[in-house]
Amino acid sequence: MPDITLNIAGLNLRLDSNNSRPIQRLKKHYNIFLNGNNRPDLSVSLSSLKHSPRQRRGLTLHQGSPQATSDSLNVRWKDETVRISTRQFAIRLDLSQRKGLVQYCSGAGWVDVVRLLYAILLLRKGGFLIHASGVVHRGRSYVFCGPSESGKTTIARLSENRPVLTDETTAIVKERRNYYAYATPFYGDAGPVMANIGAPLEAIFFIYKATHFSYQRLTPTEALKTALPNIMLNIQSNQWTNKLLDSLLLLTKQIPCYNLYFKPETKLWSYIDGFIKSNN
Amino acid sequence: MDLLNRIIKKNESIAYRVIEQEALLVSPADNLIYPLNPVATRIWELIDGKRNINEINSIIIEEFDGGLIEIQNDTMGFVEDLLNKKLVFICNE
Repeated sequence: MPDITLNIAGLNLRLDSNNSRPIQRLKKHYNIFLNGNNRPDLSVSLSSLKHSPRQRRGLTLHQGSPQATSDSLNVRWKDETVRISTRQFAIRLDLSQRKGLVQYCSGAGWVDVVRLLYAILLLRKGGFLIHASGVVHRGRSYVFCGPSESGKTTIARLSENRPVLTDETTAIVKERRNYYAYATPFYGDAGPVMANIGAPLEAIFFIYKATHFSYQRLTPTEALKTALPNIMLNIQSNQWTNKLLDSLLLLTKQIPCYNLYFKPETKLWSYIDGFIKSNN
Repeated sequence: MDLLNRIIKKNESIAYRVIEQEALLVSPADNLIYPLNPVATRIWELIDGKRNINEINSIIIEEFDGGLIEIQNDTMGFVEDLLNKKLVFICNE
């Protein structure tokens, strides 16, 4: 059976299918994130759905699944069991067994599926996917978080020779006592990244375009409140939302977080160096 | 029955954490976030499915400075807000 194993943020996701087409597509799209040998943290089988013509017109996803009336996610997560459905796909995971099934119909967005699977894997490990660009500067990662149009891609483009982790979605994960930011294949206008890399996390910035440079150090609580809407998971589970809150609080207590008002100029990096130094 | 004598309980689907005396409530169903100030946080903590609103009100009056009527009005307003947003429910309703 055709299969691939992806490695993002140090987590291995194995995908197999009796249909070679989605696997070929995934191989092409996630080329630099392929990792053949390591034990998977999660193995997921992909299975195409057989629809009746009526179902194909989009009235229901398939019999027995929670009905989604739009592309919005319907996530049910209890203990180690996760069920997610949209009009294009349904995911069932048994995290305790490290196994799952994705049923999809034509037009399913594989980026959305892989992003969701990683959001779940990361959350379970005390990490998360955050709506942020990431840049490695002097061996440390700097994460720039904000909604669309806040300047994530602009900052990635101002990186000059510094490696860019992503201009859209960064993976943050705790390894032993330290936090790391990792590249992901989830990118915006700047396009895909060139290397699957990660680096110890130096700081998180909540970015705002401005006509000047200024910053404001945030308390852990302020940072948590600001970060939360930028985390990539609609979890309809208070158990896992509480876990997310706990993980975020640990992070914001350990890693300095700032509001950063910036002009789109390469001077940004000397400005950041200056105030990071003065705050250490 | 007067609302003051009703017992209220938290909506069990709401995730929350209290950090430095300020609660952050998250409604997982719609991803809405509700930050609470210290007085609101104390009221949230006192909502346990056993106390009625009057009892909660008495504890708030004891623990925080302010006029009796003012605190009672603020508490009632906040509880009504919680009820409207379905963050709490009236017991046996």
